[in-house]
Amino acid sequence: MKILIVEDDDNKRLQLCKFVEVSFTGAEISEARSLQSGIRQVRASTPDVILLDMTLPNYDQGPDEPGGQTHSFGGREFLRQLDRFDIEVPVIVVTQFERFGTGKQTMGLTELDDQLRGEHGRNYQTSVYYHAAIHGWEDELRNSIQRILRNSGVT
Amino acid sequence: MTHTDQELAGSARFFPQPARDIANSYLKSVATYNLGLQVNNGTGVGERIAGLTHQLLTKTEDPETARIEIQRIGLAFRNLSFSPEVNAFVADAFSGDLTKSKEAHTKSFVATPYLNPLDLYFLPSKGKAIVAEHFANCASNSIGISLELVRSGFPALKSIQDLGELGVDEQFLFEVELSRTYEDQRFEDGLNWGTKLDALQRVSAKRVAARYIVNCLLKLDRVMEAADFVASRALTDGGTVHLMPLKECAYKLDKTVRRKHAANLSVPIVLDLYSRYVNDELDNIRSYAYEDFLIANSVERPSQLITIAAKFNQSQLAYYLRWLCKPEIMQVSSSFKGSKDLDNERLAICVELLEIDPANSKDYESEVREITRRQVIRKGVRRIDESRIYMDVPAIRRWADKTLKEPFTRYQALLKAGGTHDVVALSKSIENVLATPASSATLPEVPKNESTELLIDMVRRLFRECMSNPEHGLDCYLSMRIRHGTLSGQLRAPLEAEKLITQREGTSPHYKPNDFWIAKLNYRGNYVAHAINEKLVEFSKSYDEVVDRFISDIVQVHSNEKPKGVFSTAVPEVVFLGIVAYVTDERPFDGFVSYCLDFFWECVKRYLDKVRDLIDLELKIQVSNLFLSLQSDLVGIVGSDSIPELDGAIRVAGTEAQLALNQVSEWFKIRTREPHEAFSIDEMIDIGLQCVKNIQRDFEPQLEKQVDVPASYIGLELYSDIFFIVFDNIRKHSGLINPKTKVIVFEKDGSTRIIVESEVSEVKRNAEVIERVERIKRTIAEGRYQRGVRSEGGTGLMKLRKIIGQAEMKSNPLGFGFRSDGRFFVELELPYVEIA
Repeated sequence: MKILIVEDDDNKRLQLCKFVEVSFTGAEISEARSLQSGIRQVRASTPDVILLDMTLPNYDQGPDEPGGQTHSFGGREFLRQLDRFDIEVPVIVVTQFERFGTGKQTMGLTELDDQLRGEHGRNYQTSVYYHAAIHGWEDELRNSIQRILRNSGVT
Repeated sequence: MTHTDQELAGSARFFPQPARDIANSYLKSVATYNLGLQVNNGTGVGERIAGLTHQLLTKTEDPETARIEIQRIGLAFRNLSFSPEVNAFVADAFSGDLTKSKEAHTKSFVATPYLNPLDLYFLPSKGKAIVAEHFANCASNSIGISLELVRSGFPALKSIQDLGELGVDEQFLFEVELSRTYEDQRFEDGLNWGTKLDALQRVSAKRVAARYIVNCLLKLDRVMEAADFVASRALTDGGTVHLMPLKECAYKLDKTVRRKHAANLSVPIVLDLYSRYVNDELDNIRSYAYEDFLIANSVERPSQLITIAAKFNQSQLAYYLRWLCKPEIMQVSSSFKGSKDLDNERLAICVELLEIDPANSKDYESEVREITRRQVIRKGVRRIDESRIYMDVPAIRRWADKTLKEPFTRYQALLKAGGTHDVVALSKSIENVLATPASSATLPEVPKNESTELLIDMVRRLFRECMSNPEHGLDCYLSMRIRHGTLSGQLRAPLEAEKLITQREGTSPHYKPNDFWIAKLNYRGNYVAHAINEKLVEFSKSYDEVVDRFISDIVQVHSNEKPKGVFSTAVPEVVFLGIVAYVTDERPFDGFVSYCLDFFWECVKRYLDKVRDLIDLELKIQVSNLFLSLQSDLVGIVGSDSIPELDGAIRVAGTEAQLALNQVSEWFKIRTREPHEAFSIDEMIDIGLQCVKNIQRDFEPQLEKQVDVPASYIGLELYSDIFFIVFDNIRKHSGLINPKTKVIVFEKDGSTRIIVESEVSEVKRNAEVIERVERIKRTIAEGRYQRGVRSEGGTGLMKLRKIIGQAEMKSNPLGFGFRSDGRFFVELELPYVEIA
């Protein structure tokens, strides 16, 4: 099984990698730290599952690169681009936020879940709320991935 | 007196003529436009409306502002009869949506006390006949009314043929036919009449034609023809843009149409026109259309289009490159690796645009200058970051010349006299040691005698000087470029941006309350807001303590006072043996110093590795734990009833803090730099300011630069150190986020003079501050500023004096203090060209 983790937060990415390694032995993990590097990777080779953060910088941040625009709804943009390029792949949004955007665009997790299901139902599977200090996300995420694998027959 | 009476009486003051005349004045303006005449802008409301009407019709100068202004006047006098007329006029002259005209004219008909024949066409069919009959009865000789009657489907007085025979201009006849066919939903016929109207060589005719042609095409579902027409007409007559139904056209470019016509430039152009003139809600679709066009033409980047440029309409290509190939749109594409890549692409595009669109060359030149300036600042800041590990090597060499040359000569004389070790054997032993794994290595021994003692002493002194000299040693630069607020500023910046961290109250150990979050969380109740504030204050203190410990314990030269200091003046034994082996009785002194300096940098490299390890393995974890513990504390206070906005701020700041740590880690590396890289003073001011803004992002002085020196200077580090210290002092001590700041640089008597004056808030200009400034002046005058250089905090001016001291000016080169108007000034003098 190939899993792509699109996540800019080092700590959360590390936790997700560890979680996948422990829960899905033998899974092939690839990582992307920004919206564009995620899209680039998916266009080059489609994984079996994508774990996607919602708030993402446009580019990989580094000493020479501030990361460009931070997309409050970067995950949604990622899903739009999958549709745009006709890429089919199950996506689970793993987010640390319960509210997204600012001002009029503010949206709660449930609202966003409904929107993503409606607009990107082909790829979007579910959202899992991640909190480093609270347990529970692991089981939810494990069950979601297992459900995807069962449905797609990937081992 | 009623409210309306009062309003009328009040508004009468503004009117030099009756309100009905005002309505007429804009009709006159329409007529002058149709005749291609100019109107004179007057001061009365009527003349003002006439001027704006004309501006709105011709659309030659900022029609959007004219629309807003004319509607503002309409709204201000909304109870007067001309107001609805004005709105109807705006709907006709500034919208491609024909339904808007219908709505506005109907309102105008209802609200005004007189009849306007222009309203007739738009009236609902039920009442239209009655009004038409009234017009027919009372204005039987009017050609204008006859035209409107025909347009409205009531050729009661004269037919269109009659009007033609009477010599009515064909523009009006075609317009009437066009309106009629559109009203009857005969869109194919409408297209024919529109084409005839469009063929007239008159701007007003072409604009009306464009409005109807696009609407007809869209009604016939000929979407791409409509898009092509819009794109083409917008480029030949910009004034038509506001008269075409951009919204309907843009929305009809759905995924299927876009996919089919991805290679057609009209698609991204229409979407861009919609974004620029109507609404930004389709911006993401516009970005996709930008990239789809490239993909459809088998290229990845716009600059690659140049090779196939001939196959496109040149105006459309120029539009695409100018308006769509901008970083904010191009960033949708994953073919760019980062912001720098995007900027370089835009630069390449601007250069191409200079060739293919020379009419707008000034805009492209200005953009090229701005991108280049941004790149220079980025490059300069990067170079500053890379030069934080620094030592003034020429100064060290000068010191060595004065101090070590004599003992070196003595050492070589002792070697010649044969009273020492076998150099060849020693070299061989060292080579063996270096080739052996460290655990089993045994260093050869050097006999202790006068000559080796002498060499040990020389090398130790040189290493000590390199590390600890208060003016040019590594520690001095560690202090100035890393410890002096820069490192803590860099690490606090992401937390300050999210308002998570507060500062200490003056010299007190207590931290200020977090007023931002107290106010923001007030809705959760006093207890929650204050409990969270307490945790944030604790967090601020702990965060500063972690960072301060790292700075004051780790990034230090090892000593009894600083036992955890990573840097050291000690000469490792293997280094000493290497130098012993190198220095023969024939080696020149300069070679000896260079050899020692190479070894010194080797040692420094190891210290830096250690610092980076400590950042990665300890500091990052400590910082991460602080954020996690803050999150747990919040859960403890609010339970499952979380506070999303604060949670979000903590997570953003946590991620950004780790990124800031990565950047700080990069500072602890030795780089080889391109020599003699030139920056202008102007650029170095910007670079120094940018370094300060990296610490406090919202610091934005209102900067005025007056630079009167030749273009390029070398010595970025020197000048940016100066400007960094000056701007950082302004940031810390002005008490203002946007202080008015003036930087004057000029050349006088072979030296460069820099004067910086900045506004200071009254609160910050108190007796205590004035006394402190005087104290610093005395310290500097007495030459005691060297001590201040080695400590961190409140010593910026002393560091400035020290920097100028390095430049070896003879007279007192630094002045500072408060001007009589309360501004703080710093004035300094440097040799004309300084080489770093």
